[in-house]
Amino acid sequence: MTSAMQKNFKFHFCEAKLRKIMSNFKFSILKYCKVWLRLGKMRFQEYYIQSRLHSLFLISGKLVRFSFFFIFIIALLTKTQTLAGFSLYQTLLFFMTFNLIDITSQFFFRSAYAIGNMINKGEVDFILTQPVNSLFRIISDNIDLLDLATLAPVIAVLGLVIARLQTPITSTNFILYILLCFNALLIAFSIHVAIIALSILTQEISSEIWIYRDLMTMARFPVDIYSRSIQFALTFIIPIAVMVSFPAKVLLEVLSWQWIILAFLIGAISFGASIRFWHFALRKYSSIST
Amino acid sequence: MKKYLAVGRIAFANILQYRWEYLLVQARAILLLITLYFLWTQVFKTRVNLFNFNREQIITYVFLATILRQFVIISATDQIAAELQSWGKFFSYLLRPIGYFRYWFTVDLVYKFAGLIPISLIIFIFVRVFNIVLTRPAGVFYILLFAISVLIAILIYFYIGILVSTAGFWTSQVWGLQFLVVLILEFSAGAYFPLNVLPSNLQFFIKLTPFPYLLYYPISIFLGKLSYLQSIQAILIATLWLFTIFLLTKFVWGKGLKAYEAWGG
Repeated sequence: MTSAMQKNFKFHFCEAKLRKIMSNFKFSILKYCKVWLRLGKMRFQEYYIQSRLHSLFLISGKLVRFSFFFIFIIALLTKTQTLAGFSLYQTLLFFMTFNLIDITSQFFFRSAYAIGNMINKGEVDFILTQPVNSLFRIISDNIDLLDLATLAPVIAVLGLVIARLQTPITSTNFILYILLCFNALLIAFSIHVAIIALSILTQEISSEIWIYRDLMTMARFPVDIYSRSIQFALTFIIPIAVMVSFPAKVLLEVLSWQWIILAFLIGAISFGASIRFWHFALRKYSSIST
Repeated sequence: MKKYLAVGRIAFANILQYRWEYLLVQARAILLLITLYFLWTQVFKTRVNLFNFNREQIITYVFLATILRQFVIISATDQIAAELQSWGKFFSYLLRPIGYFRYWFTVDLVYKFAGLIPISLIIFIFVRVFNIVLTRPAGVFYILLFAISVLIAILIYFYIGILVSTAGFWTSQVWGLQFLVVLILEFSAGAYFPLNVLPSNLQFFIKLTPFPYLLYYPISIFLGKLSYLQSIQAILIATLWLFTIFLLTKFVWGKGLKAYEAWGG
């Protein structure tokens, strides 16, 4: 075989292998989308069809909380004009970004709230035997469609707030805002995975998720209102500021490129660390269900 | 009395059994306090007076609201709805030599004191360490009126809690209703911010409900925002609300008992 033929053969071999990988990848994506949609449908039936009144109360509760804080910020900023140097619509941008990230992460990762029960009931054992990625299956077990119902008005109000900002919005800033929001979801995913892994490891009904939720609410307002030490903790220890304040600040053109790079770096490190922790916890898992 | 002391001891032992959960509840209250403290500190950096409050008064409001939230709004009555749906657990109470409401009021008090003591201690340390200046009550009579208003607030919330839980006689989906009521109630009670912040028409509407008598009015009395006459007037209206809610709860409870069906054991 000449060297040209050898090269040609290698090229075709690699191409075929790549095609196979791509086709497997496409198949996997489709499979996971189907599983996710199926689980979503099951929860939809559970939430909306079997207990409509319950769903109505929950959605109303979430909208009431949102409306009260919205009214509070408007009432406060109408009197004070600024909060930590931010105007009314700028402060509302922080608040709406908080809602966007918080509600979206609850929509996708709600299962972290029920992991203790899943362990006790033996559902995790059952999930481990299924032919899908265990982490994906656990985290998608409880897709909260109630949050989807509240997400629509939040996005609409966010759009209105952005339209009313006096700061000119460039396409670069807007793209960076979207990317930092995705980065926030990646960090939220990492925190939820870490909490799930901790529950797997300790095999207890965990309330750590509620501490995360309360820490998250600290970002309803710009983190600039807090002292330096709290700002440091909210940026580097539990990066709530990176999740909410950074996207809002980038849209307002008050975030330097160094902080933007650091935000993505924190996102990547959080993701990597949480996945490693998950694998570690899974190796230590032993069933406790009856 | 002895049997209710025993109920109290058991309730306290139950709380201590889940020590980690108990500590987390306290930590959650502190996080809200930190947010509100820094928010109002930032707001008052550039002004002396806002919404008829000065810096010391608003910080005192935030601290007192955090303490009273743990004392008034923390309740065990939300467990009643679950009991009504738990295959005969409620039925077993009807055979015991104790009053059902008294039993739950005892458990409720244990929950409240278990919440009050650590939060008061943490706030005390917080105030001392960071040298935070707070407003003192205007006089001994104001402290007495404040204590009476808090006592009435506890009873109002107790009966509201039972009233909401009675939905458990007819449906198993009570949690959503409890979630909605607690949210409306906390905001309308002034747990997050004084009602003076809200637009006047919304304030007017909220003040027509019993909710401001849970936190907002007791704190206003403590801060001397109300005159003696206004304070007594607020306590009288709160007492009227208490009787109205008590009668309504009794009526709905009676209807619920007639509809109750027990199975299992």
